[in-house]
Amino acid sequence: MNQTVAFGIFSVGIIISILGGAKVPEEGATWPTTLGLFGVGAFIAVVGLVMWRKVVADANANDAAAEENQDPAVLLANMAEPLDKLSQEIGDLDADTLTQRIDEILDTYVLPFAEVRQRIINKLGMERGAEILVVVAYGERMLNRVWSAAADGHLPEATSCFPEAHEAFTEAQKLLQSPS
Amino acid sequence: MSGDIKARAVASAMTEKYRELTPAAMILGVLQGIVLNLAFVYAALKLGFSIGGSTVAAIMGYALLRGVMGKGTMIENNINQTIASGINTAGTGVVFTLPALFMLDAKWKADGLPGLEFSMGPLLIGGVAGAVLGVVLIIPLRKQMIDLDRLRFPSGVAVATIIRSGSTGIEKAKLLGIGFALGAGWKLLMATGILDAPGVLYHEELNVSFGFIPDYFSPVLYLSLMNLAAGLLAGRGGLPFFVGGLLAWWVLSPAAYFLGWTPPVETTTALAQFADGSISKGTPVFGFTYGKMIRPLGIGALIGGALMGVVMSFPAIKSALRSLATAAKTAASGGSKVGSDEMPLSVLIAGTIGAVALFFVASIMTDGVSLGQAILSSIVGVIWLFLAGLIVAQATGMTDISPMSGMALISVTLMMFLLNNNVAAAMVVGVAVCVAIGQGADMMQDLKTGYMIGGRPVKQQIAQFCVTWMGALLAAGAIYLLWHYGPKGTGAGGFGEGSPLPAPQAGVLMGIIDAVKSGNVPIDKYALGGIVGALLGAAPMAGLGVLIGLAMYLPFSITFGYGLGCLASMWMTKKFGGEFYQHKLVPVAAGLIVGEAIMGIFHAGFEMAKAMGG
Repeated sequence: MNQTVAFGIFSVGIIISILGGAKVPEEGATWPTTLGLFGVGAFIAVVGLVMWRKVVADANANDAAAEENQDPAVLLANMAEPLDKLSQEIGDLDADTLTQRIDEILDTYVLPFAEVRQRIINKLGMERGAEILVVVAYGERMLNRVWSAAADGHLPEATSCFPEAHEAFTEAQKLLQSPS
Repeated sequence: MSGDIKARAVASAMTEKYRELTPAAMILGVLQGIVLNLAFVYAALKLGFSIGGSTVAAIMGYALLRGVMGKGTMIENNINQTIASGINTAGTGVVFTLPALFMLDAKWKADGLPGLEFSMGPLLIGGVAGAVLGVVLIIPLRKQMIDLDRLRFPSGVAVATIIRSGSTGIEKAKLLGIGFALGAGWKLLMATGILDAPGVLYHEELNVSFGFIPDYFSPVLYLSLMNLAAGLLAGRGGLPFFVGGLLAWWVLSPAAYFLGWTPPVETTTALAQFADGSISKGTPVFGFTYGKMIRPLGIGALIGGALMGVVMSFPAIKSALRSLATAAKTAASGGSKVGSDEMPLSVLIAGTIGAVALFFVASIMTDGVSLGQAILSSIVGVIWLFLAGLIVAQATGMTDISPMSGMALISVTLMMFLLNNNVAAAMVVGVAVCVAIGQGADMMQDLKTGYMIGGRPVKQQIAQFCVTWMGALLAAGAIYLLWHYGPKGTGAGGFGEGSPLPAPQAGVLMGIIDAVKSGNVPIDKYALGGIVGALLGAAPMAGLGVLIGLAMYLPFSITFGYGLGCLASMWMTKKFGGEFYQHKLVPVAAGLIVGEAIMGIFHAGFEMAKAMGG
């Protein structure tokens, strides 16, 4: 079923129903004489609406399935090495290089983790899962702050915030690995 | 130029603490908030929807904090836009509700009935209470909505992108200034009437019949750069609004004429003949078609679309209730690292108690409200305000569309039933709920922006908490000024039906209140239009019912100009690319809107001064 066809049927129905509802009722009457036309138009619009929503729902389901191929625990574990490396080198980096390194970590590990975070809650339950996700969110926000400070040319702030981010991701990994 | 700015920034950064919540950011935010509040109140009275001011504030913040002062940071600019948008958004809640009281009073007096007695005091207090409650009640949900649910908040993301755009900020500020000058200058030209010519141009409306297009196609174009700019900003997303106008005037109106549904008229070519007064007085075909068919159908569609928007928010409602249930569990999550980044609970509790007390005072001050009713409306009002704010924040986070009009309609109608049809008292709650909704959604958008650039939430929360009260007071003042001294059309006041500021949202609310009070309504049009609006609202295209309903409600001269802007934007984006839209079109269009609106407010102020001096 094509979205354009469904949208077309819906639009035709809407136009007919608007036409049917527009006529002014005759003296003493409450409803216009074109109420039947309105009903036909509304029915066609409902048919078109159902078809349209189904097409869109199917498309969304396909998109969601494509994202479900990353393990959040692996992403978190793999983040440790680049974070450790950056921690050792951060004092020697200029602002542009620092922002690029932060972007790499965000794009490669943090944002993909966020896309599949529901798996953490499914696996560990709402309470424990939420605790881990909140810590990861804090770490991500601190990485964003490092980026902003570096882009603003304020390297002291960037280097002082980075350990907060590093600690947060380290703690999140420990929480994930610890027994319930 | 950008290299010099960066060098200065680096030099000062090495010696200074990283700037975040600074006096400069707060002062700039307040000043911008005041300007944007007034501008977008004017725009909302004209167009029926408001436009977020965060984009403008972020661009100007970069230009002034970094370009002029030489030391602004991204985090500091975020505080600036948080404050500015907080003050601006409170105005939206007021402009969707308060004008209805003025318009109702005038209408009932014109119908020979007793006018509507109301005092501004309780409404102002209710607005302030709503503003404070909107902020304090949404703050505890930050962690759930942003950290856990990761709601998209598209506008918040867009503002973060602007803040991060760095050196292009100065160029954008220049374009904003050019747009402002053009918008203000054009508005001044139009307001003076220098170019007016009988039958051709009158009160900013241009006859575009080209000598042959009949009246039932409504060939009139509103020469407003604000209209055009709103369309430029909307682009493809604004097409449904334009299509609604085309549907009403290029399909329905000619069909009604040729099917003989309109009374017989002497001529349908008054506009084509450029007859004197044909624009200002309308034509017989136009009058009947618009007044008896299109406009009431549009009101029904707007109501149906708005209410369906609330129903379609059901996943957001479910999610919001789940957020509420788990927010207490997650409040302590994250340990010491995270806890210090939120406003203390004691401040939130104190703010809530204070705002509820204000709510009670506003209710008891309203004529005809007993002590019991004041207590009832305070309790029910606060509970409904919290739920509505939660729903709208969730819906905004998921779709960037807030069902504010539907919530306003429900609020006022609910309170009218609880308070024995006391319109003024119901409106106190309506104003408070609308302002609270706007503040809650805006706060969440700003916190999303802050998350993306690394701001500390507590600083944004403190900043908005300090200034949230201003917006409602400013907007109410602007509405009062425009009613008494604004550009009068065929109506009694400076806005409403027949004036250049049609106030459509308030007009719909007025229609509902009038219907509840008098029972004299075109029930068929409201009902059938409502069904159409609900069907449109259920479509997988957010806000369709409201947009189409609004387009049918407004005169075609306004939707025509807006539609030309949408088409122009789509063409330019296709020809020059998305970057052109972001970096050139958006700042110019924003400047046009602000320029015209500010000049409109100044013009009203000038008329007031003239009247007082005379």
